[in-house]
Amino acid sequence: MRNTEELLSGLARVHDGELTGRASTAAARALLASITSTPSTTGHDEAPALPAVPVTRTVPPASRGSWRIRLAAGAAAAGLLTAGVVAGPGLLGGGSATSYANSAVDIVREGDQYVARIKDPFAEYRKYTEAFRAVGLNIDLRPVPVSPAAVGKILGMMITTGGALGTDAKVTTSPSGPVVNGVPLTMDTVPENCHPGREPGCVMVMRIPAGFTGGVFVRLGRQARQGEEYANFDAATAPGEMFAGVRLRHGRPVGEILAEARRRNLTTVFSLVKVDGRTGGLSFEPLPARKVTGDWTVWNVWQVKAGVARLLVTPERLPENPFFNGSAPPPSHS
Amino acid sequence: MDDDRKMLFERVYLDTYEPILGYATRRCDSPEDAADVVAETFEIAWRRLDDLPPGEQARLWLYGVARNVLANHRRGLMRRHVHQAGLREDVADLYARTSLSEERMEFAAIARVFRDLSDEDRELLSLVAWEGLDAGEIAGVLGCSRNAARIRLHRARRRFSRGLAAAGVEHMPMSRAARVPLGRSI
Repeated sequence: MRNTEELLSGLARVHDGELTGRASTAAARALLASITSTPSTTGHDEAPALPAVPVTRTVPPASRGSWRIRLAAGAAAAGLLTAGVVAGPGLLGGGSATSYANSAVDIVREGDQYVARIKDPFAEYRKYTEAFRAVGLNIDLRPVPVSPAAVGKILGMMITTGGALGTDAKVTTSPSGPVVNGVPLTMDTVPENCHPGREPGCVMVMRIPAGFTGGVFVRLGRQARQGEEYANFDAATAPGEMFAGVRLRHGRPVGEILAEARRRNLTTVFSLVKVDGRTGGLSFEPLPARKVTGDWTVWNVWQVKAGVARLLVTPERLPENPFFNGSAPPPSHS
Repeated sequence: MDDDRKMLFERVYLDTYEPILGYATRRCDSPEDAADVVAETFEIAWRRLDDLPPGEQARLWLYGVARNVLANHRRGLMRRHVHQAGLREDVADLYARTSLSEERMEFAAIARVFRDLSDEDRELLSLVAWEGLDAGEIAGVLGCSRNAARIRLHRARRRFSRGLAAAGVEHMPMSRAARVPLGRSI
């Protein structure tokens, strides 16, 4: 005898459990990149141009209560960190231990901070969540595979404070990142500038102010495995990266960039850039190399994985670089 | 700022891509359609980022969007996302698999009964069996009250049971306690 759900379950083409990891395939990333290349409409124009002082922006009510997003872009050393502060009904269930360790991370309290040593940057992110939760912290740490230059760096951070419970922490920014109630929230490697996952004894260390009741979402660069694609694919022209120093603001002929790629020992693949006439949104279509000639124009380069770059091209020159069209944020350092 | 909005979206995308892909794949007859539903659902989510509820609610909200996208698709109104060729290839292997052969005969009978239900009954039962939702969560997806969802679900189960009985398939109406959230990873 079986119940309705079991019978119907057998009819499902696929179960969600079988789809684990699909969100990070190249196709899923390409869709994400394509979608976020278009301006996200509402609230977009009110975004602050000068992030030095935290500003408050109201987001329309969500299904339960409303959120406010306070944006406080930190001027991180790498120029990569943005700290958004979301004040909202944050509820924290949780642990009361002052230290916790599992195979992925060790967390101990040192004075007014919790210090988390990430022993295994390749661990499943739930391992970290479990450990942070055990000491009462709501930290969502997602290590993502990146190019060697970005290993151990924060690719993005978002802080949620528990405003509705009257525990609103005072969050400010400093050159090294956000400061909560006067205590900095930092991310470093120990020893300094080592490469976690590549050098033994090198660990990433995150320091979180004790008593912080909000949530933190951090994307942290980790060493990419052999052949693994980079999450910081759009940083190819930043210092230390694959195409460091190459400027593409006004587009460059494919021939020139191919020569540059050869000099740097890189393999290249191509994608055709399509611009939606109505929204200005971009989509990308993989393109066999044989269809591309040296006089096509390269508008942007993505670093796909170790040794491989993707050139984003069009057969004709466009009036302006679609990656710098004002609404889409320009690729950094290009 | 754009970067913050991207972060917010990316987080939701990473958390919900797999369940939405599952939702679409279980309901579309071809990988092309499933890829289109996934792409369109997330495009809408990006445009309506400010309406997107936080946390676990986001997944339910996206099921609701995907459901509307699918309904439009069935009316021939959906955009074709031909440029998402990679996504289509990604999805195609989910369609290439064959079903369990030993139970195929019985599955065929169940499938027929299921197919003969109304769209609404099918969707209600699917949301429970495939997405692992309870009546409260279904109410969130369908935009009705919890009570209404419960009543509609009860009726859908009854109609399905009757259909199965008529087709000679042995089964047991589900009890809440015995239910396993199927199709969800832990």
